[in-house]
Amino acid sequence: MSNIDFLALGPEIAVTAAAVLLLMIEVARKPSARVWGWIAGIGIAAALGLSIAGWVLGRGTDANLYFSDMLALDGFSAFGGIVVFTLTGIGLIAGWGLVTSLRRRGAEFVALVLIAAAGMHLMAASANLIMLFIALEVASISFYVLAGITRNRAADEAALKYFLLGAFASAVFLYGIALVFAATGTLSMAGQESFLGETILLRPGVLLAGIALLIVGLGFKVSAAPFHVWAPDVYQGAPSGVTGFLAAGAKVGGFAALARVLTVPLDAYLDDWAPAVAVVAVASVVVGTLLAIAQDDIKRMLAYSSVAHAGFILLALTAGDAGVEAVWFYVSTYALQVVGAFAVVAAVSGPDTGASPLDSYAGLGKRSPMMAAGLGLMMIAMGGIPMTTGFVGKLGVFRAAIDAGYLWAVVTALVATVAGLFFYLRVIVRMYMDAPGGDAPALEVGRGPAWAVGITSAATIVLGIAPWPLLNMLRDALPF
Amino acid sequence: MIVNQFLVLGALLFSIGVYGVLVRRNAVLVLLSIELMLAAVNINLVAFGAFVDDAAAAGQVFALFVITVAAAEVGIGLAIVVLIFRNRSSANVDELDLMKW
Amino acid sequence: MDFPVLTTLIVLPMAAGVAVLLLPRRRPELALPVAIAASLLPLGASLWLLVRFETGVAGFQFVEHVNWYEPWGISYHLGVDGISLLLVVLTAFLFPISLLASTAIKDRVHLYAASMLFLEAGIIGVFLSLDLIVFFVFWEVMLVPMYFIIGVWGGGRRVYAAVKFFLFTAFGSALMLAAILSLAFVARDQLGAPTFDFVQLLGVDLTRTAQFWLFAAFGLSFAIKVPLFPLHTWLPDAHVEAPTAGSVILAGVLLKMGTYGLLRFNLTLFPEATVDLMPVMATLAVIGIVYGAVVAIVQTDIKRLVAYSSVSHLGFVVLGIFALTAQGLQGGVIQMINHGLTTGALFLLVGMIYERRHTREISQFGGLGSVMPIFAGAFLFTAFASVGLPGLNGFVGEFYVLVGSFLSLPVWAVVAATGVVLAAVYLLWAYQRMFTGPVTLEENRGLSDLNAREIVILAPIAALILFLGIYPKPALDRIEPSVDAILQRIEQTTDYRVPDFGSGAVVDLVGEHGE
Repeated sequence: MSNIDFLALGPEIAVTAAAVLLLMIEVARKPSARVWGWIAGIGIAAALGLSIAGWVLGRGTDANLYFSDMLALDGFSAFGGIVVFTLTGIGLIAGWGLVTSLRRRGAEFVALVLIAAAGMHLMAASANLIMLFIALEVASISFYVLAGITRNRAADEAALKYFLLGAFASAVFLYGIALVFAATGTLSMAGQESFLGETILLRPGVLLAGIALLIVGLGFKVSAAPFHVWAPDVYQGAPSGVTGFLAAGAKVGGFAALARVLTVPLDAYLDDWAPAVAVVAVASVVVGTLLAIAQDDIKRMLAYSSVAHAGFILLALTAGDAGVEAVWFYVSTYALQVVGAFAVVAAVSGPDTGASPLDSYAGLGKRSPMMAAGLGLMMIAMGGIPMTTGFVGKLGVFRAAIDAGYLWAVVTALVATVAGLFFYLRVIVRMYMDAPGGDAPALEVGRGPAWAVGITSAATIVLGIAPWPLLNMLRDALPF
Repeated sequence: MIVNQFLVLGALLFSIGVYGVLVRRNAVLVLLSIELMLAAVNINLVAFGAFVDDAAAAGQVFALFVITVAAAEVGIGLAIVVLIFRNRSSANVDELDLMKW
Repeated sequence: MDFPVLTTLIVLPMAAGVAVLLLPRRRPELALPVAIAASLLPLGASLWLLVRFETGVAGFQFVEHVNWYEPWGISYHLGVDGISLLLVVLTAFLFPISLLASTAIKDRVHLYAASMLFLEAGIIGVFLSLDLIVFFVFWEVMLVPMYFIIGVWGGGRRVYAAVKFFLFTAFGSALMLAAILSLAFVARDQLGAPTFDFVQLLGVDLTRTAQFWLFAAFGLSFAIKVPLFPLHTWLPDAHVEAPTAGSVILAGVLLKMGTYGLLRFNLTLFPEATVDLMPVMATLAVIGIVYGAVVAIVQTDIKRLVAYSSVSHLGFVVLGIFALTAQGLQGGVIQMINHGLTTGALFLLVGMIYERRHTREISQFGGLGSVMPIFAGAFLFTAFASVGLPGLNGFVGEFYVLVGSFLSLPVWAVVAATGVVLAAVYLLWAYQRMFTGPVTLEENRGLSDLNAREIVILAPIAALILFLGIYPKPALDRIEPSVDAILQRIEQTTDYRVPDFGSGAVVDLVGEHGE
């Protein structure tokens, strides 16, 4: 029962140790930002390595539960770790300009990013609802602070809105947990799975209400409509250097949690929750797409587009177990696209400012061909054009949903995809087809964003043309 | 043991909390309303924990975790409210209108 | 395994595109020559294909088949038959020509040349794919370079035209993707594993209702591309705003992707729906023929005129296809090639005069025949080919289409025939206004005639126009078996019987006269 395996907890130990070490050294020695970078880099690399080790040992096997059924070490959690720590690494590289602009507080920033990464990975690894709640809070509380890290007027507003709505969502989520606990008598997901698999509830009302509240609570975290209202303000207000990490992290962690909760303990009630998920998915796709069209700020536009993407991912969950593969592919590749796109935003508008009006991208094709090409590629990928991961992701999602019988939802989503192309193309129009006002100087791009854009672009194209290594891998990345 | 009265109390408290979040305009009061919701959850958890008679006392333990996490959350929340107040001498959420639609 | 010539055909332009992008940016003058030279390689490969292609065989040749991702049933499956062969050759033939006609492009030339080469790879991929997902990938991906070509190097309203082009096509393909996915699941239920493989999907039984909806979803996507009336509104904008080479490719090969898709997928995968919807599609085609021609007559912009003539000509292709007779289908395919050549040439000519005068208003010209005799001659020759003068290629296609549709849809054929007359009206009238009579405007007096480069551009097209007009047999021989196979499949799976000389009512009439 209380079996202990530190490999299951290894990645968390690595990044939290790095965070603590970093803060202690910062207090004692006041080292340069380079030292923070080294510590964070080693911590993330170690966590990534341990996740890969967990993948090698844990995938495909049945129910490896540790620490009194609190943590799972399976393909799902290990893959989650690989995604989370890769993202954290790229996100930090892309936003390093923000770290240096924060001066001494940069250390806090880096430490918070590391702790948030630990929380995100725990969300994928939790096998108990208590654990999941704590993981969610660890990640969320770090996110609130990161959103407001620059302490200026846009950032504080983003932080407060994120905090109030996030805390509200957490409370709703908790209430859902309490109801599920009431219906099943246990907080362990494995226990719930076997209980619900064996018992027929005569009055499933409490359970169904609990499921609904769980979906609402996690729907807030992944910014699915109609629970998305925080997203545009947070995306726009948060400093650009960290927005990509916030956006991608919230999606990866949220969907990992959602996928595990819905497909492991609540699998028996698939027929009850899948229609609700389908409705939320379609609502998100439609609302996100329509509102994105009207935006003049690229970060707000990306926020609404992320609402639409949350809808696409939810669509795959309507297939239950069969959709997890598609969820993982979509969310991991989308996260890379987001980080890449925000790396460009940080390069164009500065990593420590919030707003990034679309007008400032005019003529970017000439001012910085590489950044423009990178952002253009991300737009095309988010629009779901083939030979990018965006297309393969959508293909997987639509397959899963059609197989589950939600053709109507898929057709709606497909039509919305086309409408979505409108605003993705608008960015490209600005960059390549509108001349910059006067002779705009070439854009100075730091090495951080350049590397981040390069890595994410390469991944987006390579995995878009040859996705099978990842797809094959994902067949082992199912929850226990 | 009858669990209904606890359930009703919890649901009532939760609803009051939700109402407060939606209606209150002062950030501190919104924060308090969220605390009310968490308290409602705790009542439920403890009641259910006693009801299902779990040897591990999962419900009660979870309530303790919730209290701890809520404390951390409030700490961060108040810090953000203080920051807001310093930046604009008001903690009214309606005045946070730098960004709209 | 044989040498994968089809993959080579796709990869060559793609690699060339990357190579052009990697050329030093300080030497923009290098980009275009390198691109032209590189685009000769796929042309060579396609000619090799043409020579090695086995005439008289209906099935796919040079087939390549590799699993792409087996659990999803996607495979990289390429093949060429009589229908796609000629379209591939046409594509590979038009690209060097249009690149050669792109010397007016001065801004970001390497990006332009690379876009053109990527576009070529995408279009060839569309014609060669035998897996629906791979087909869809190429179908969508080729939008991106075309979008850039129109949007960056186009005319005044280029952004509007580019976005409209992109969204129209993308909307159609969205529904097609839903249809493709649904089809794969039907296949899984019947064959045991999901598949997107065209050849395997032919073995799937579909109910009449399913066929109807799938036909509609595929058909909508292809009809937008063709474009079939009333979905044509993107075409004049895109054509007018695109740079010359863009228009040539757009008219020459891009529109053919739509008719090719109808022929390849709708007719074979959904035969019952095809027979049911035959009058509807034929009606839309005939409306397109007449409407395109009438609107072309009233245009004052010569490029818009040519654009609307495309709507009319593509109507002939669709009419031929949905006549569901051997002659109609053959005529449809050969008309695709013809239209690619003649309209491509017309757009090139329009581009040449535009580069000299920077206007395309017909009223701004007049009496050019005396100033630019070679140009006038070339224009008249192409116009005649487009109108369908016997001895030139347009005649062969239109004749086959009209004969074929007369067998199955006589009323439609008669109405369509008026399109031929109207074509003579709009093209020859335009010729008269632009080239005959005295020179009316001072600006036109000093215009230089075609230079050597421009003659080199036009000569190969003219040669092909003449060759296909006098001796179309080699082309028809290659098309015929593939077309017959499609009709056989329709006869096998439905009650429809293909009318021909030698069976049915029309032929009895002929028989009586014969005795």
